[in-house]
Amino acid sequence: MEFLNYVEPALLGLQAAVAIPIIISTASLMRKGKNGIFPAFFTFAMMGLTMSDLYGMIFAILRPDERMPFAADEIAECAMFLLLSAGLEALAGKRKKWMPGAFLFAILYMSANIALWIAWSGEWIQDTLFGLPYVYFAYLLFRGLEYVRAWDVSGERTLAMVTGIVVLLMQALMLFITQETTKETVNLGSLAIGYGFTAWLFWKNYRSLRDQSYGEKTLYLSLTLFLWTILTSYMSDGLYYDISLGINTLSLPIVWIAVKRLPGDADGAAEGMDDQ
Amino acid sequence: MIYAENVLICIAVPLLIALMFLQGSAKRFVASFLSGMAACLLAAYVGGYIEMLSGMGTENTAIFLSPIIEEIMKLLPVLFYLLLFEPKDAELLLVAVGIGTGFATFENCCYVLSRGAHSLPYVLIRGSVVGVMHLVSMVALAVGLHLLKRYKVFTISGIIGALSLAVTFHAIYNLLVSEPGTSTYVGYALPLLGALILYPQTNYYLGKREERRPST
Repeated sequence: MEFLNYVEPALLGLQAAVAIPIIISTASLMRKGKNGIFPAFFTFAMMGLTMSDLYGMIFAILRPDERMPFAADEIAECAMFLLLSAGLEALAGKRKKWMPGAFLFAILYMSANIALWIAWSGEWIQDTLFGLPYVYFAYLLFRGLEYVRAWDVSGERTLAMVTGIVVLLMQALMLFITQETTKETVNLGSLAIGYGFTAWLFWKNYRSLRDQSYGEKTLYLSLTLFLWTILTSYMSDGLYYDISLGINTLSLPIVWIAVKRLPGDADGAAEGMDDQ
Repeated sequence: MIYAENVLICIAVPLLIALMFLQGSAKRFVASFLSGMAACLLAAYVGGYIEMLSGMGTENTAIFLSPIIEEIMKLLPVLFYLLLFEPKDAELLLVAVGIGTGFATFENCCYVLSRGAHSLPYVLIRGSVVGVMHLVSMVALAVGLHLLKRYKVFTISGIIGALSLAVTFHAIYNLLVSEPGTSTYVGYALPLLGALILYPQTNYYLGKREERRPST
């Protein structure tokens, strides 16, 4: 067993270890009901993530050289995104409105991602089916980012969109390059841009948290970071995958802080509990 | 080869007749026990079909796909009961326990009939580990569904979320016992550990509900 084979299960275990206290904390928020209904969805979503991580960790330890077939962790991840999406829908409440631009971008961007997953794995039914919650989640995020005016400086949104597209195009380009050195160079370039974008999202989240922005803005920004780090991890392999997984784990406490800062709402869980 | 349908008939007929003489919780439990056995048979049919369709092989289907199929089949009667009868929390748990034990009993019967019951350790493991695993995953599912209702997040995504927890728990057990050595023993301990963790939680939630009931 190579050194890297130990790193992945260790990182998955670490992510589960980070998620467990978050679950305990948000379960408490869910009981108190002061932060609206989102913590309830988030708690269940984090449970899904934890179980998926534990499954992935055990698989990586027991079968290090095998590619995981379609398994329960995909259901858990799918459930996580559906729960987060349901939470965002509930959060938007009566204010939600149809945003064709956000929808179109979500469809195009996530479809391009799914196409790449299929090209890499060949599992087209699985990737298409389990990619759908990503599309829905991405749409809700893009819509939410617009709603909360997450882009402070003009041109920030365009820059974010272009960066995401460039990373995808570079990954797609690699499918057609046969020369190993060129392929590796393009891969490194794509990862560098991807990690740069991640760093920028971390900075935006930091600023939003520091400025004590109202909860929803930080929540949408932190969930964007969470989704982006997951997408980056899917684009990377070996050591780069482990780095991306580590970065994804770092995004969890930021989402947790954002959830804690959410304002309550009139239809919140606490009120709901009282009528039972 | 055994004829699982015949085994089901053999066990189910006395229970079906027993239903005529039972009332209240006992009747609900026996009915859910029967549903659990039927769910097990249906899961075997669906599993066999998917194994043929996916070409994953018997072992891989059992390790990776059967937790998904079995937990979905166990969820359906609970969901049906929950949506149709809107039961109290204790009743939901009773039905979930009935389905889990019915499923585990029928699965154990078929395994013992097909592989023999000569080895006491094997029979003990089947009874105290696999049986408990089905029970624990069902209790976890019932607690999950109860929480979803309590916090008003009983949506399709919520149900899939609760189901995914039961599926992953089951899948982790299957994965652990699929490899010989220490992982198998960890796998054997998992359902019992799950039962020990869930027991006080379930009592806590049900107890709290009962405390709240007179004032509401």
